[in-house]
Amino acid sequence: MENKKKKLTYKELQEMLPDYAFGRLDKEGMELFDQSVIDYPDLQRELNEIRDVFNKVNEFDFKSYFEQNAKNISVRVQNNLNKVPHKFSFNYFSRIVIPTLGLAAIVIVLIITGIEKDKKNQNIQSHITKEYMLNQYEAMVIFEDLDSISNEELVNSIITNSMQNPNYDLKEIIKINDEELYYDLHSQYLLKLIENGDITNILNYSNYFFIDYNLHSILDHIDEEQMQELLEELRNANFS
Amino acid sequence: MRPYELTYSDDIELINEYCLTGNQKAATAFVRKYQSFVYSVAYRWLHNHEDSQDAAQEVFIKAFNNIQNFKKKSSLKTWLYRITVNVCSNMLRKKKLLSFFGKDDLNEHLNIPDHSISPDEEFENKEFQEKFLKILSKLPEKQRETFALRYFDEMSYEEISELLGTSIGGLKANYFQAVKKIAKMLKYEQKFENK
Repeated sequence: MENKKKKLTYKELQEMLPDYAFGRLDKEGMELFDQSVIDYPDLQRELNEIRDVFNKVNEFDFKSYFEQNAKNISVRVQNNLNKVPHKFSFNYFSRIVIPTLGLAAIVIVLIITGIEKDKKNQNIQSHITKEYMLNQYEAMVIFEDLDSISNEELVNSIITNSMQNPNYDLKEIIKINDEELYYDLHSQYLLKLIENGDITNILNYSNYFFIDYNLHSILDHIDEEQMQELLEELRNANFS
Repeated sequence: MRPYELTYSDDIELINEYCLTGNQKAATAFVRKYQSFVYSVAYRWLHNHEDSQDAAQEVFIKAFNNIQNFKKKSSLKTWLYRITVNVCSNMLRKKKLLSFFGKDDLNEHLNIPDHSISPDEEFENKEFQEKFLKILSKLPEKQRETFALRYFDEMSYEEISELLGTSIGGLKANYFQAVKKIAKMLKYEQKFENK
């Protein structure tokens, strides 16, 4: 009773048309389609065309055609399955294990090379730092080329390095035969310490300094004001 | 009723039997049940008999090797369909590559004769099969697969939807369009032959 009232839309009819044409709808669906398609003559025409053309297709047994062509597949598969363990293991090794091991080896080599490179770079860096610290002075000592640089430049270089680097052993470095340079260096260094107001270092350095240093040479470089400051500092210093 | 249907009531029983015992009888039953389906899917993609047989064989070998991974959430048919499409896509890619380097002819194996029927019948059938399958191959992939799975394999829209990832409404529209196009092309061919 419900079917008689209900009608399918054009779109619903289109969607059901192939199944109706090939007899794949249930009885209820067939009846519903029959009732609804009357309102759409173009769909009826289309349905008749499809039925005409597909008559031959329906006659032809595609299923048995495919079955016929596929009939020896089970035998071929069975024969292959007997070989499968060997084939599988080869495939497994050739396609998964070997490339994975290769890749792992490459990664390990790259990591090791990277680490070595880092170490080398660190060594070079530390070497460079040392070289930088002593560069000017060492180069002059090694090549005995002290004449090519003025005393003032040499003294400045050594003093700057010694001020920047607490490990810089001025006493070891200053083994210069040039007497003028020697005194100049000591006096300049002491002056720097005085300018910085570094009393502790002045006192420490003085242990070394007064052993073989001509005090006059340093006083030559100190003006009156600096001398007064020095004396003031010495007065205030707590000698224990 | 076929012999495997007498032995195994359903696919799950078939799989369990093969997984637990590696029973060759179960393996053969499994292949026989689905060989026609797998072959027809492969044929639609590869368009020649020999390649389709090779593909079908590869599909079953892959299925046996991976049957432990089959989740049983979908049907065996759905799972096999996916493997078949993958295998065929790979084969087509290889063929294209080989043909690019001139090592293989894409149409080399076409027109393989079927010796199982009489010569007259064979000629007529072969001609029609070729014509029909050629027309089918001209359809867009979704329309072709929807038509074949519904018309040849008589699968439900729900099953096809799971396979192709298309909504049921979309499938019905695809099916209608495919049928309409095939009818038009066959009609045109008939007219051409009558002239």
